[in-house]
Amino acid sequence: MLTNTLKLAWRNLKAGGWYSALNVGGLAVVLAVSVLLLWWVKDELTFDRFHPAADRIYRVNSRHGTGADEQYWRTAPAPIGVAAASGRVPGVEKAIRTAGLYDFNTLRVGDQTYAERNEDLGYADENFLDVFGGFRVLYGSATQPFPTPNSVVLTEEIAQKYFGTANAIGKTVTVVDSNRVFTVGAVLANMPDNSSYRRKIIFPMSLRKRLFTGNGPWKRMDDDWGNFSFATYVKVAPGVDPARVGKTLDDIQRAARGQSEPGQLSNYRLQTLTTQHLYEPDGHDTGMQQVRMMGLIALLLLSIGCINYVNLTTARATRRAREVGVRKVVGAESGHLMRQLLVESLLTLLLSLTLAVGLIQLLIPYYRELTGKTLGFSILDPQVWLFLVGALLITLLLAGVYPALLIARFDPIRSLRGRGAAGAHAGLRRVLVVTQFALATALIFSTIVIGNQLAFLQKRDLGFNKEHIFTIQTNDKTESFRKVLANESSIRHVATAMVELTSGMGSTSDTEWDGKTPGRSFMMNQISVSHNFVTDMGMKLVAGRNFREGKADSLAFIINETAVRDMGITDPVGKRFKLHDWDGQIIGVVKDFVFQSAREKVTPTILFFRPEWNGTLYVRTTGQNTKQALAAAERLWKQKNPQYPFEYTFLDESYDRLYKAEQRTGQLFQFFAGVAILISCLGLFGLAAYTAEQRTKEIGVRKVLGASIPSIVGLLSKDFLTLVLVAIVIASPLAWWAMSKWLQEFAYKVTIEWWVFALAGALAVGIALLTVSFQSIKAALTDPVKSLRSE
Amino acid sequence: MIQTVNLQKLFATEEVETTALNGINMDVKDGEFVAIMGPSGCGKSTLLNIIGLLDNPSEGEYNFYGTEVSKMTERQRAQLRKGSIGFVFQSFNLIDELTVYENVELPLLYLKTPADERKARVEEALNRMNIMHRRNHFPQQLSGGQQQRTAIARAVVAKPKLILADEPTGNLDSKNGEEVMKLLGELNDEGTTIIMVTHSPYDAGFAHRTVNLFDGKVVTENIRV
Ligand SMILES: Nc1ncnc2c1ncn2[C@@H]1O[C@H](COP(=O)(O)OP(=O)(O)OP(=O)(O)O)[C@@H](O)[C@H]1O
Ligand SMILES: [Mg+2]
Repeated sequence: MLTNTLKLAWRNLKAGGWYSALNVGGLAVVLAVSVLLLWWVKDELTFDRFHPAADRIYRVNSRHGTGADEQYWRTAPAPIGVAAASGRVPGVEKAIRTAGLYDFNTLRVGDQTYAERNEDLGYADENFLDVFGGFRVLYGSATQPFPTPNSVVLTEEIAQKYFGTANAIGKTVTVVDSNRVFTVGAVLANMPDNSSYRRKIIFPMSLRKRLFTGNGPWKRMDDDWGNFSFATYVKVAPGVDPARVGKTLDDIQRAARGQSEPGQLSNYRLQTLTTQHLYEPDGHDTGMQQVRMMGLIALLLLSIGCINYVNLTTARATRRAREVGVRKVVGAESGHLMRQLLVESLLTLLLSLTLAVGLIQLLIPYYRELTGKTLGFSILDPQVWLFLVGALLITLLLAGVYPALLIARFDPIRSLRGRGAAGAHAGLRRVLVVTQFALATALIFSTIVIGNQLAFLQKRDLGFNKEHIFTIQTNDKTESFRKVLANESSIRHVATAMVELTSGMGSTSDTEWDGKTPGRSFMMNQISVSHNFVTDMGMKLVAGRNFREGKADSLAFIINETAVRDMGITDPVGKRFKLHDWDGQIIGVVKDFVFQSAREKVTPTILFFRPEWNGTLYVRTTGQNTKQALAAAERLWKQKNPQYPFEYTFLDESYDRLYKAEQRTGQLFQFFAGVAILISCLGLFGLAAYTAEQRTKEIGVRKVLGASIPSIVGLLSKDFLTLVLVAIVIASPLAWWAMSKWLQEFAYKVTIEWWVFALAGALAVGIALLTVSFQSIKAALTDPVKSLRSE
Repeated sequence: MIQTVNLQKLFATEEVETTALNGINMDVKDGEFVAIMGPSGCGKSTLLNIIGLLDNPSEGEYNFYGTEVSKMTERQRAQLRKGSIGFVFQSFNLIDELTVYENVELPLLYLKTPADERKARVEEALNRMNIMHRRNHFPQQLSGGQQQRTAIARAVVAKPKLILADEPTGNLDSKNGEEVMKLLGELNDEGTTIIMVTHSPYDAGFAHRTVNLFDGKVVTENIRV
């Protein structure tokens, strides 16, 4: 019986011709795409959960300022970590600190030098694996990854790169700047994709302590309350209230810094390790929103696919009514037929699944490119199969059972007369088509809005000219290098600053000016620039003057417009201003310039003049011969720093990276909208074909009676267009609402204008019309004699 | 034994109510061959559907081989119908996606007949209807006569007590029609009860008696002499 059922199912599938093809193909696309999406969602939701007792690990965030000045940071000063680890905080079992490493980036192994990206380098407390226990130690000891102060921990990838073997214990790496030699103490497995902490070369915190040169009154790194550059993690005992731990840390800080002004103190708040990836320190769900959006899209796609399946299957059911009737007459019971139809659905789904697996293989490279995830998805992973089979079963339940029930219940007498019960269910099919098209329209609408917003960001006035600039990082002698470079004919001018603009400048609350509310904690970005920076970068001074070369302006400050506004001062030029120990005055105001992602507002920024602090060269070429300029820069670099490789970055590429998240969203949306529209069209196409087929005789009769072809096309298309119009009316407000929410996240955004509605609607109608009219025209052109005879 | 008492069938649609059967009293004995005749729309097919347990009467009693079935649910009727009634239609009603062999095999599959017995019985029926040589053909590849012979093979393969035929020769030329009637006659000779709707007096001549319907009522009965 089973082989028979299967054989029949297969034959029925084949007999279905392109109905079956549409069904199988549509479902395969939907399955493949939504499985990838759900995989991504799963990946995001499991961030950092691979650490043992992850739910008891917290990051110590710090809160600064109050009211409008309030800010949350992901970091704490070094003494907080010391206090947490000292046993003075009840409930805390372990505490560790990690920090970025900006002191050097060039390493030498043998006679080979490597310029590593600073984001791959880091400092960590010697016992960091006590808390980050999920990182697998391949070689070396987990309790003592740094056996000596001159140990370094590498990931397998780096060990392979440097030494050609994962087992690099005892091998040495030299820091080029200082010629200090480090011995590999441990090799870790590469950090998983869903780890927030992603360093590849980790130096012991003791090295950072040794390199510390003092900060104001603080002489040791572990006493420095002013530098918030430590990501601090605590592992607490079960049942411990994290808020209490934060309070204790507040108390410890107050005890240590009792003499400070109240505004200088910050509060400490614990955030669970497992939420740090998707939630901001202030609780904002920025990342989670994206996850929800993608999950929603996966479900939308799956429903569109299911709707398609139900539509096509029930439409075809009418064609099969006679068959079902005959079967009943010769002895089939509803149960038999149910089983038969479910097996057919299952077979269709299995075929789709096979196709989906193939499709996933094809999509994986794009998936990686779009998501930026390197590892992760493998078709051999049992979890992937769980997903696939799960999706399959859900689809079977949602899309297979209903048509089977419907068909199995056909009344045999009516079916034999060629009138299935399916006619009565045309209503449901309409609802499904409307739903499907509403979803597609909403996606079209969203794609347009997102496209608009991205174009808007692209055109946004950055407040300076980022074209034809590349940047070079140096360690010293920046000023002299700047001068030789500027003499090259292919180079227009060279400015310097402390950091590259997009890499994030430091911020401080250590400022004072006349009229500042006492105790106000006001955060400002700070950056040292060269005298020609403002003019050469194409920034605009709206008041005052520029820095002048020489020593005279070392206590002069230029602030941006936002700073003027937020500080609440008028006529800033000439006013007293104090940054750290430097009591000076404001000499100019620069028009706001953008150095953060589109989601953030321009923040108050202060430019100061300490050229000797600057490590980043901004080289603007003439624009005609970038190659020549780069060659010249490399040649001069090699003369000055023979032991360092020459590295450069184009500034406009860095800015593109700032908008990468948005661009990714845009691309994803375009892609998913495309898939959704395609699948919806497949469904509509199938339904239109079915309707045309059902009405072949009617069309034949009408033509014999003198109906014109356009009138018949109109007749057949009208119904569907009505459905699509209803879909547009339903979708527009929903999409508008969703997109307004999305745009809320941006400090700079477009408004959604009426033409977006019109365009989305027109596109939906156009696509539907194209799909349906193909079938309608085909039907209208059929020879009436043939269509009449076919009855 | 088939017996109906005052059988009524009403079709109610939104606008009109049609009385398709209006008090049919009819007895059919085991082994009988009964023809039903009457003008178009008089209720012949409706009666046959009720007799064949495909439909319920609106009123009246229907005793099917000792069981009162007029109030049964569709599921109960399907259970009773299975294996005990064979149907032959004017338009053959073969399943296009199945071969001749598979079409004939279908009733046995639903009866869960063991595979070897199934094979024997399907082959017997095919041989008997003289279409064994077409066993792997699909219905569209057959002539009308061959299709109807397949349909009869399917109707008899489960060896039902009763065969119901609704204008079995309606779509056939006289030569093929004659052949189908002869086959039905043979089946009847072997003891199968047959009730057949027909418009052809010649075909009705094969039956033991003819029941004439008019407007949902039995008007006359002719017994063959
Ligand atoms: N499903 C139905 N709904 C409404 N009316 C019906 C239905 N089926 C049959 N009828 C009506 O019942 C009456 C009897 O129909 P039936 O099909 O039994 O006629 P018939 O004698 O078989 O005719 P013919 O010789 O043309 O096949 C007709 O008036 C028909 O219109
Ligand atoms: Mg009839």
